This record gives sequence, structure tokens and C-alpha cells, in this order.
Amino acid sequence: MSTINTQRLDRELKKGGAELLVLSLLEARQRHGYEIRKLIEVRSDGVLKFNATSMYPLLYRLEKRGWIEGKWVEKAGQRRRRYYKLTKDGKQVLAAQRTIWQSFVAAFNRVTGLEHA
Amino acid sequence: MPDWKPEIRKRLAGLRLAPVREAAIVEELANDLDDCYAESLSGGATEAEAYQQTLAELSSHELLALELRRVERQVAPESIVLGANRRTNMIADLWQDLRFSARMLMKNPGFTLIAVLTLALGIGANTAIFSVIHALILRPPRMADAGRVVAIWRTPKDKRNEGRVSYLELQDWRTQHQGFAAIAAYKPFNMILLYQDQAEVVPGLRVTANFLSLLQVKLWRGRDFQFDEEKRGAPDVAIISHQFWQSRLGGNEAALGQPLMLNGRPFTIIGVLPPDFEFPPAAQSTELLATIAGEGGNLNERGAQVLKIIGRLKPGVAFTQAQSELTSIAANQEQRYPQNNRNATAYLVPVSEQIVGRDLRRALWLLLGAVGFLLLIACTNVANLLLVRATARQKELALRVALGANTRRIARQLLTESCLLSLLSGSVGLLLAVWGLSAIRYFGAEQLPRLDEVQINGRVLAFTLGVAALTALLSSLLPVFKASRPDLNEVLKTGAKTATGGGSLRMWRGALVVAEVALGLVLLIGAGLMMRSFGLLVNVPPGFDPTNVLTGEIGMTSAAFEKHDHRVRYINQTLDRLKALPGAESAAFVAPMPFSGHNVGSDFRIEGRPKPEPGTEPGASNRSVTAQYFQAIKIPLRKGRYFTEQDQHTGGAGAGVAIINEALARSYFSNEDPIGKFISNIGANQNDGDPERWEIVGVVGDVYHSSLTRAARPEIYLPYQQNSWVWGNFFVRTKQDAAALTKSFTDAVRAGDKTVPITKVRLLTEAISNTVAQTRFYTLLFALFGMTGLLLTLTGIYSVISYTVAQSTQEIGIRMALGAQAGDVLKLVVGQGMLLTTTGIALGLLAAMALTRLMKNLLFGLTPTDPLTFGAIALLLVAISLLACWIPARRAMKVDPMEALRVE
Repeated sequence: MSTINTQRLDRELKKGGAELLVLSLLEARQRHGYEIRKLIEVRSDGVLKFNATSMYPLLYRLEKRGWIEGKWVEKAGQRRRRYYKLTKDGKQVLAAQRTIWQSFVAAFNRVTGLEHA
Repeated sequence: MPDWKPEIRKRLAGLRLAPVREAAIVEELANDLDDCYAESLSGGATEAEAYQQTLAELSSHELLALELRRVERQVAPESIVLGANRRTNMIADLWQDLRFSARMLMKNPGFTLIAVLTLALGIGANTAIFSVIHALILRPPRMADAGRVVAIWRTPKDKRNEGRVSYLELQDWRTQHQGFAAIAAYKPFNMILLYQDQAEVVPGLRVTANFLSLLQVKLWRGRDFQFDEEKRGAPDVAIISHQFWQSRLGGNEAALGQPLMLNGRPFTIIGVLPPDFEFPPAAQSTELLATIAGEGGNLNERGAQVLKIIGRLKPGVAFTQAQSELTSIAANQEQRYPQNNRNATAYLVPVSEQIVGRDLRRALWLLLGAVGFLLLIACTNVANLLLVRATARQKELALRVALGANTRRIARQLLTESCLLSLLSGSVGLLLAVWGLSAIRYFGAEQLPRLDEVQINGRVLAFTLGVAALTALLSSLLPVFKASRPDLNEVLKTGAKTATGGGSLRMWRGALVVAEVALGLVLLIGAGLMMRSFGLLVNVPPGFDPTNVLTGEIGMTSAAFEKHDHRVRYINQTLDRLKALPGAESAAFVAPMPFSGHNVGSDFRIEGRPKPEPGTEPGASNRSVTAQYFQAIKIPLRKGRYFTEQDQHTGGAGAGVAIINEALARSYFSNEDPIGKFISNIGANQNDGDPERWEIVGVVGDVYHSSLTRAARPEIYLPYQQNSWVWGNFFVRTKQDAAALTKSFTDAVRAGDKTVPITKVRLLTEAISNTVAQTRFYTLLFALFGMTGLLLTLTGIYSVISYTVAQSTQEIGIRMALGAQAGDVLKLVVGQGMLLTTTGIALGLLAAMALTRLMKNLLFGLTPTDPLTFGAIALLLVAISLLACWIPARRAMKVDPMEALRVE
């Protein structure tokens, strides 16, 4: 891994982290934006929270890159909603990012000694 | 279920998305918010609470748009790979910053317009003055290798005045110097050209033979002067300008070798100057060059100090080296010829300073200082505007920081914004400068040398760019510093008084007002001193009455005028014609006329007194006037009598009569009555057959002769009938508008003799006013910049105070609810404002006292710390500050306490 300075690291963590979260949640099945937001909040026990203002621009960005794909779905008796699913590219990116993050977290833990504390 | 769509649309308004895309985003977000709302309700919230919680999802007003903008518009996707090289993103960021800044500026057209105009005024004024300084002072004059060309002044040791040199002195320098490649002399000399029976005055120079070779001028046609041709009695030869050759002689090659009638003598044309020839130190165009051989007897007289000197330093010889060489030659001269060189020395001056004098240089630098202050005031104004805006945006910025935005990134964004603003202002300022320069060229054409060279060129553009950059930095430093370090907790707490920005911002704003008032005061005091000085100058009574007097200059050069009687007859006949002009009250002839630009002086002797030490002989200016001169120009008689028609030429036998002025009486007859005393040996313009001695018959009042700043000097008037000159001025005094008589005046003079040209026909008031034209010119500029500064200061104080009042509405409301009266509020608001202003005034007065010393040499009749000017300007600023505080204070008095308390 090439070196990065701490300020960039800080930024990458926030941004890359958010992307990884969204991509991961879409791996299993397609979901709509609110569902993704709630899932992140619930699964992180409220530590991570996205508001609408941040979530949708993030989704649009990922969609624009071709990693996820949105589709309006109408179900009987409900208003139509936009669901997102992972694309082939998205799956590759997710796999790559997982590896990077895992090695990153592992490296982080090795340095900080958190794992063996 | 509330309808979220309008709220969402409001936030997307600035993005200008395609309608279909916008609808999709709105729908998707609305769905999300519906879910949010429903969940809040099911969690036990009231409808109002649920509404608030849901709306909070949209965060601040601009954030959604900002986030979406990145996605929806940005073309290049951002790399997300950890540790990747992000340099391309810096450029993308910059581009984004620029576009965002442009949008922010467009969003507030009022703010942008005011800021741009304010800064443009400052930048434009700086650019205009700098381009004048660049052309007049910084750029070398248009002469070959001008850096090595110097002027040499003969000057009193304790002064630094331009003094002329005699030919014999020049010869001393020429033979004794080591450090100069050459030393040459010139004398501006207008010659009367008689061509095809028409007489006209042609501007020219009498020069030494090496003049053109010193200037490294290559002749277009013919040959240069030879050394022998500058000697007394040499044949008359002339070199003509290319323009003269083309326009009068049709560019004819055969003109070389032909004679030209100049001052009544045939001059052989030996050469033509190149088309681009110019000699800036002469301060006029040069159409003819003749040699100094024409000076005749002056060439043999050490006291005939009539030549101006230029030299070219040898390569490798330093200025100081040449100066010390000259100093020692001058010391030697003083020792050998004390009567001509007592207390005199030689002074080396760069030729550029000879062209643009020290006073003008100083005035221009001071003007640059003045516009510098103007720019600082403009910067303070805009800094304040930016600060106010930054305060309003504080919450947005704080949110961005809270969401992980880099504070440096935000500072960069703000800086980009003010850079864009300055660039915009710079462009508008450049436009203003171009306009300003055409105005300067129009009004200053007569008063400033080298003005035709003034232009906006690469260096001026670089200067403007530099000033704009400085402006950006100065006006945004404080706002950027404050805004990029928001106190997150403070700002984000709902209900916090974000708008006034808390104590620290208020303090900074106060500091800006103090600075602004101080700067404005210094600028205004500078302008005030110049204006008051100019007022004193133009109100100096010249010693005569110049109103409704029309004058014109003549020269008699044809052979017929060599006789005294002929000259007198011509003058008298012409005067008769002038007196007969309709509306003419009186007419007279005088040589030289006050404010004509000419003066002649000489030593004289007072009979019955011991011979004075060499160098201490009494000296006086010489005048030759017709009998009615004093009555016509209204110079009062102090003692004795005026001249009369009976003061006739004595034909060499007996004494003539003379009238002296009070200055001469004071200097040389302080203890005795000058009337009846005899003076003799009055050097200049004595003709054969003129009286040898002159009896003083009258004393008249002093007059200013060449400038209103130079005190009257001793003068001796002789009657024209007894001492006739071949040049001088006719003038006529009329009952009404003298200018209306211009044509008939000119015709009446011409009617007498076609070979006598009449030039410079103008009102005497105009001639006087021309001598202060340069001063008037820069005084006007000072006044203009002062007024602009005043206006900016006024608006600056007003905007800060009114903004503070608007933000303190709640505080004022509480005070009034607690029983404060309108008067108390007035006192509070005005008191706050005036505290700042008086602090500014105090600081400004101190600064002005230090700075106005630089103006000392430009001021006439008052000291640089003139208490009247200082007091008046300080009072003026107090008054306008009161006004600027009073208007917002009145608004504050009308605050309805209930209304005010509801606001937040």
C-alpha cells in the first residue's frame, strides 16, 4: 500500500467507508435509500448515521460510476420506489474494497494493538 | 402527511437540473422523508416534532445542493482508491471552487456589484497613477543610452536650483573633465522665420557643435555642425527637423545648402534631423538647430550665464565620481572668478529629472500614496462586507466542517471567492483607469511632460494584477480566518446568536471601522492641505490688475528695426491702433511682460557708493516700458512720479530716467530716499546711444513676475523711449471681455509690419493661471481621490453601524421592554459608533502628522501640520460619522419590543 498522509486518510476513511457500507448492504439484495439508511443506523447500534442529504448524493455517485443500478419499482397498493442493486462492476469494486479495508484494519490493529489488547 | 416536495425543490433550485432528473430526485427524497415522518410518529412523536425531525434530514439549506452538485455536474469521477495520487483532483477542486464562487457571486448581485465597484475604484485609480509614474519617472526618457546622459546645473551651494552656465565656464569644464565622453550646451531659442513674406516663430535650439553627437543622433541628410561653427563670428548654419523639411520645403533634396531667413539673417541649411528626433529636456518640439555662435558677445563674457548643459558619462564612470570631479572644477572656478561664481557649485542631475522635475515627481509619488490609501479604504469596506457574509454563512460552514470538510479546503474556497472578486474588480478597474487616463491626458496635456508616452502596457498590467492580488488577500484575510475556524459547538447550537457573530467578530468589525476612519482622515487631510495651499496660491495678489488684459508677444528682426527711432515709431504707431480698438481702455508695450516666461537681469551700480567686492554687486531685473505702462496695468506709485511722454531719448548726452520697485528700494536704499539718486551700468539690452546713467524718478509697488510662489525681486524700469528692445509684449486693457478682441488685437499688431510675428496672444489671467497649472492639476487629482475616499469611508461606517443595529434588534427590544427610552437607544447606538470613529480620528491624526511632512515642498503658505486643515477635516469626519450612525440609530429607536423579541 502506498503511503497517505493523515489528513487524506481521515477523508478517505469517511468517504470510502460510506461507499463500502452501501455496497455491502446491496450485495445480498436490492434496497431503497431509506432502507439502506435505516440498516446502517440499526446495525451500527446508532453509531453510524446518514441523513438524506448525504445518502442520496452518495447513491447517485455510485450509480454514475456504474457500481450500482437504480430502478423504479411499483408494487401493488404502494407508491413506486427506487431500488438499487449491485452491478457486476460494483461487485468487483466491493471485493477489492473489502480486501483493502481488511488489510487496512488489520494493519491498523497491528499498529495500535487493539486486537490483542 | 406533509408535502415535502416544495422543501426539496427549494434546495435544488440553484442546480438547474434537467426537469425529469429533478422530478426523480424530488420523488425519491420525498419517499424517504415520508418514511422518516411515519417512523417518528410511530416512535411517539407529535406531528410537529415529527415534522421538525424529518426536516432536519435535509440539513442546512445549501448542503444538499452542494453534495448533489458534485455528483450531478462533475464530469471526472473522483478516485476512491486509498493513497492514490490525487493531484488531478486539486485541479478539479480549483475548477469546482471557481464555479462555486462564480455562482455565489451571481447569487448576490447586489453584494457583488458594490464590492466590485468599490475595489474597482481603488484599483483603477492606482493603475492610472501608476501608468503615469511609469511613463514619466520609471521609464528612461527616449534618448540613446539615456542612463548615462546627465544635466549639469550651476547652483548655489546650499540650494538645488537649475542655474545656467556661461560659454567660458563651459569651456573650463570641457577642458578639465575626465569622466565625461562629452559635455555640450543648448539654449531653447525661438527664431523668427521670414518665409515667403510671412513672419512666424519657429521653436529651436542654439547648441554647441557636439550636441547631436553627444545625443548619438544620426543625421537624416547632410552633415553635423563642425567645432569652428560654434565660435563667435562663424557663418550662420542651421540644421532643420524632418518635419520642417517635409512640410515647408517639400522634402526637397535641393533645400540643403539653401539659405533660410532667420531673425533677419540668412542661415545655410546644412542638415536634416531624423524623423524621430526629439529632445525632451527642451520641453517643446525642436524644428531648428543653430549653433551658439549666434550668442555673439555672450561667448566672451564669463557673466553671461545663458546656456543649459548636458553631458554623457564615459562608460564605467559612476555618477558620484563625475559629480566629485565637477565639484572640484567648480571650486576652482569660484576661486579664480569670484565675481561670477561666489558660493556656486556644479550639480549633476540625471537627465530624466531635468525633464520631469522634483516637485512633479514628489507630487506623483504622493498621489500614488493617496490612491494607495484609497485602495486600503476600499479593501476595508469589502473586508467588512465579506465578514458580514461569512457570518451569515457560518452555520453552513460549521456544518461542512462537522461533516468532515477540511478547514483548509473551506479557507481555499473563500479565498478563491475573493480572488475572483478581485479579478473582476481588476478588470473593471482597468477600464476605469483607461477612462481616467484619457481624462488625465486631456486635462494634463499642457502641464505634464512626456504625457504622450503614458499608456497601459505590460508592466502596468502586471502592476494592476499585483494590486488586484493584494486586494484579494487584504480584503479576505480576516473573513477567511474567522470563517474557516468556526466554533462548532457555538454555531450549531440552535438559537445561538450566530448572526452577530459573537464578541470577537464584533470586535474585528469595530477594528475595521477604526482603520477605515483613520485611513480616510489621512487621505482627506492630504487632499485638504493641497486644496488649501492651492487656494492660498491663486489668491496671491500679483501686484497689478490682470483682469480684462489681452497680451501678445512680438519680435522685430528685420534690418529696418536696427535703428532705435524705427523701433520706437513702430511701437507707438501700433499702440495708437490698439488704443483705437472698440472697447479698449488703455494699451502699452513692455519687455519682458510679467508671466510671459521671459526675464532679463543684470548687475548695476549706484553712483556715489564705494565699489563693491566682486560677486556682491547689486543686481536687478530689467524692464523697458512705454510711458503709460504703470497706469495701464495698474501698478501703484509709492513715491516720485510715473514715466511721461516727455522722457525722450537723450541721444547719448545726459541722464535717462528710471523707476525702481519697492523690493529694490528695500534692498539697496533702506536708509535713504532713492528719488534723485543715479544708477548706471545697467547691463542687459543697452543699445549704442542709450543714456549711460539713470536718475531714479519713482518707486512703484512690487509685482510677481514669473510665478506666484517666488517673492518679488528688485526691478529697474526704463522708459522705452530711452531704451528700446527688439522684443516684448503689447497688451490692451478693455472695459469688458478682453478675449472678444483677440482677432482685432492680432490684426492691429500685424497691420504695422508683416515681418513682425505676433505669438502667444492670450489673456493675462490665463498666462498667470498657466504658471499654476501643474499644481492645479495634481491638486485636482488629490481632491478627487479625497472625495472618493470620503464617500467610501461614509458608506463603510454606515454599513457597519446599520448592520450591527440590525443584528442587535433583539437586544434593543429587550432594553426597551425593560424601560429604556428612545433617547437611551439613540445614545447607545450613536455612542458605540462614535467611540469607534473618534478612536479612528485620533489614530488618523497621528498618522497624518507623520505623513504630511512628505508634502512639505509642495505646499504654499502653510505648514504640513496646518491646524486649520487638521481641525476642519477631523470635524468633517465627526460630522459624517454622526450622520452615518444617526440613520441606523433612528431605525433602532423605532424597534417594537414585542416584534424584536419574536424575531429569533
